[in-house]
Amino acid sequence: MTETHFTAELDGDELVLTLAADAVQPVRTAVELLADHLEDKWVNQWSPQRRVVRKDLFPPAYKSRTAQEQYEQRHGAAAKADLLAAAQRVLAALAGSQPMRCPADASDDWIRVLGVARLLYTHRDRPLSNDTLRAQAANFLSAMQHEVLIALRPELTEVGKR
Amino acid sequence: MTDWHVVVHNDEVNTFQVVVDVFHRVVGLPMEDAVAGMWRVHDQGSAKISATGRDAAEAMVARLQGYGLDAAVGWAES
Repeated sequence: MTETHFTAELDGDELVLTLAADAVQPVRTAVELLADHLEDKWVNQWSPQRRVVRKDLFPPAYKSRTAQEQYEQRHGAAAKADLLAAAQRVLAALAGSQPMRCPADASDDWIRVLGVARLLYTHRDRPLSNDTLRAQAANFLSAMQHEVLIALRPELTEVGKR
Repeated sequence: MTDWHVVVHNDEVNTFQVVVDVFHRVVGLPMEDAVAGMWRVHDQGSAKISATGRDAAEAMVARLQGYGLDAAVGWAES
């Protein structure tokens, strides 16, 4: 998949998202995987793979294990519930007809969900690439996030040039 | 007295644009400061982007992680 499989445009107060038919299912799978993770539905909660994914999705807020556990008690459930709600709204949009239309002020769901879901397929310390299917998935979700963001705030295109 | 702050670490997945957008809209930094913060993260590997109390710092870290950023809580005794 490439960026041409997805476009995002602002139409008045609405964001219009067009996803190619063959890209809908892979994106839905990624968001469903994220939702499953947020709902602790993964089969083996303590598998090494799950721990690695968890660290990529939610890096430790504290170096101290005790402080981290206390932080998770204070914020973990609410943070997961908030992101899960966003993922479910994105899934609902993906289940509808193309193009998808959403109010521009609700587009943050897409920015957040795509930004986190790609971390199911790559690691933070690894540059995005197209070397493997997983890397391609992460790259595509990243490109989608970028398209959404630039459609909403085109002035950001110039950011990063110095 | 403890100075609590939010630290954002550089990574290979978040684009300049996303980081600036989140610093501006979510953290509430003026655009110029959001861009400067993004460069500090990129050039130095991490940067303090907000100083506050513990509860507010933790809440902000949780919000930033919800955008896919690598954020942590830092503190210093003063």
